[in-house]
Amino acid sequence: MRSLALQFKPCCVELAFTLYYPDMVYSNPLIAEIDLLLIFEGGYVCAELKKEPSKALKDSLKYFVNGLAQQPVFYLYDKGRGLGEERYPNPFLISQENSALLNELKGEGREKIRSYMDLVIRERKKLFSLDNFLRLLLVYGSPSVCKGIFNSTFFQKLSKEFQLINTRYSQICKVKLLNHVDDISPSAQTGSESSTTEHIDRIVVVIASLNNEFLRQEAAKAISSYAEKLSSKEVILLCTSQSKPDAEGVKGKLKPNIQVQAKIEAVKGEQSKSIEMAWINSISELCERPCVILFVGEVPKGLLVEIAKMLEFKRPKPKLAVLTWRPRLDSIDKLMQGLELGDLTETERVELDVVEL
Amino acid sequence: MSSSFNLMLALKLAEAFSPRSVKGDYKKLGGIMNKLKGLNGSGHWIFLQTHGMWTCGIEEDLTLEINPEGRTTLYLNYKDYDLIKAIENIPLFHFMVDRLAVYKEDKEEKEKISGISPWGIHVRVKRGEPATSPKQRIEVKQRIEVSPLTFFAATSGFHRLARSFGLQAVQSALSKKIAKALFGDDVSASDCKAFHELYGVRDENEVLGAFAALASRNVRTSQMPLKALEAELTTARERIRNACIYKCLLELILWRKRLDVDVRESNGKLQLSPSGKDEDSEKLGDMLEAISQEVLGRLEAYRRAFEELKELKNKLSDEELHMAVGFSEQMGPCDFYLLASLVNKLNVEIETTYVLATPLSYPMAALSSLYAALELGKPKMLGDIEFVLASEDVAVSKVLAKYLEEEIERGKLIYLASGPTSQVLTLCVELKRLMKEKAILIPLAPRPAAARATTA
Repeated sequence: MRSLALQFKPCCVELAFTLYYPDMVYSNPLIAEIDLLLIFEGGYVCAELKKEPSKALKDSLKYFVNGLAQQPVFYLYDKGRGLGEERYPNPFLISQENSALLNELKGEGREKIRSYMDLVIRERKKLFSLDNFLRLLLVYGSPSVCKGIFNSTFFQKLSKEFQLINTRYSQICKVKLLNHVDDISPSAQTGSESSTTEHIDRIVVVIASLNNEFLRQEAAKAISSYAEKLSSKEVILLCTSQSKPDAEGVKGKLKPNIQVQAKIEAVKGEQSKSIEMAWINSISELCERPCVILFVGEVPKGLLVEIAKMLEFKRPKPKLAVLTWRPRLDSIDKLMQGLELGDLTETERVELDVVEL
Repeated sequence: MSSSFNLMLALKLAEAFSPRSVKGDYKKLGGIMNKLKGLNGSGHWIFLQTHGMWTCGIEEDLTLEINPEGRTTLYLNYKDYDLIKAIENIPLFHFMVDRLAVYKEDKEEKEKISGISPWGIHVRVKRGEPATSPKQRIEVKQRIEVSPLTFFAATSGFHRLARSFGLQAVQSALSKKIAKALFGDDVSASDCKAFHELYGVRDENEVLGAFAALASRNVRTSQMPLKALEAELTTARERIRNACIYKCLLELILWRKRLDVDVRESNGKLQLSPSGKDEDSEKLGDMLEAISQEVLGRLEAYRRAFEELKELKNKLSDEELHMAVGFSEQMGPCDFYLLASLVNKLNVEIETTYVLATPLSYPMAALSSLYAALELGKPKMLGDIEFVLASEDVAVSKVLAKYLEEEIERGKLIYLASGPTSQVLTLCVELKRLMKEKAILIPLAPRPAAARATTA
């Protein structure tokens, strides 16, 4: 038994700054305001106690946003039995495994720690902010967004300054299948920004179940933006009798100002057929012209398998997309403009976004 | 059976960890599994409880009490000072239980000095208030030893996956019976230990504890404000169903020494039923019938997978076979037991089973993989277990598909599709694109009923 070798190491220990990681477990905000954020071989726990738990409901989203930046943010990493002093969060503690960061703080860094504590905290915060930002890219950024960042003069300046940034840069290139920024060609791009030459005027949104009001609202926002981006004239919400109220909820929240004809079509299954085949038949009928099939929420796995099989023969081949939580990359613009890194943490937001396969 | 008696059930965490195949196999284990194999029950519980951040063990017994209201109290011995200190500093352990108690036992005077927190969460441990040690508490009718999985389920409280953990515990406790109901008797996976048996836990204790954990959690959650439940930003909505039934079931459990539960198949559905006959069996039968679909419904996926693979069996023979399983947040050790039974029933050789975990499911996937590697990694079962930590992200799933394609030089890959939508869709499409006929896609989901295809 062995693990897939994506070499992430438990890395940073810092109170009161932004954390972004691949996935999260969050408890109910009304009950306990605790998030666990995990990065592959280490783990992070962020905890915040609220004075007024009843307000936590509204604040739920911030856990996706600024990683509980206020404090306290606890960090633990595995050290065997973990009974040493390393167990407890210490703003100046760095894992011995994190050689890149340790090297970074040798020499001048060490001197700064001794003599200018405030400055060091600021400097480290800057470094960690950037590191977290790059991890964000690592997880969520499309290849073309990464390319844009890496090609910016500002990034190149930073990468010369910090070895750690170079490490992240290599990781991102590895995960996004980019050998090197200079080598990126349009054909090498596999992410959502890969350009589409043919015009797509229909978006088929598959809604098997979406029974949360907030999610419906966010989904409608994302679908509207996506339709605007593609200049699509038609959005078809495909649902079953059970999910029809969910689809109607989404339809009611689509932006009124965009020129889309949103209509709801219910999957019509015969008694002898399974619901999955009924889905496939309906989708197949709707995909006679260039379109995108957008999957929203939980979708029956049997349907996903059938879709993959259908794609082999279907002409024209529809594009596939899913709706997932993604941080908005507003800060990319700021980074490109060379603004202060401190600003990065203020501008990240998370929302549902369409990600094309 | 009134709750005014306030009888309690105490779950004690089993410490021993004694897998059968202790020789040789450990060398193959990597990373996380290597850490886990050297730990005992409490270490595994801490690993699950801290979402994989800690892998240490503790010194003294851990006990959890469950009362008729479903409330839980975790008892900690003062000797485990580091754990208590961590709990005080990190509200990670105790936010999932209702109450904490720290106790100290004096061997000579039998004097108990302990601190107990008030009911509630996010409270620091209060010291100096009188409380008795868990061994001395007269309200506790019985103390049973349970596996780390059941103990974890019982201490998961309001965690958004706590219901899944409870179901996993029940499924794991009944895994042999479920396999028998799905695949019949002639499955040599039945020779293998069930998960809890690795810890020396007796069947009846594990079943009782697992049902108590599930019922306790569901009773407590049913008391939560609806708004709070709806606040979960997840597409997998959980409905709190059968709250009254779980309340009755919990009270029944507190009065019983054991819960004789059987699993059988009825009209293509898995059904829980009482196996023994006593004065409560009729009442218990009704309760079990009401919760059968919730507890076992997902596992009918293995029958579908079996049937679909059986149809393909001619194509599979004489091929080197590998399997990739998306480990969703609902899955647990029982799933591996059923998979091993399925493979055994199919009578095929699986070279490698790739377990595709997400950061959300990773701790349970890691512990379950360890179990699978040690107990079920035999020929004609799951073969070598390879634990792969992936993500929901489309880009990472694409890397994963390429990784699988490169790893499997010969033979075919059976991908049992389960997990987050984005991961499943990406893997299905990419594996088909990269591996063509070499990729066999099987949904790991129950076959939908024709009746559900009704139109609007």
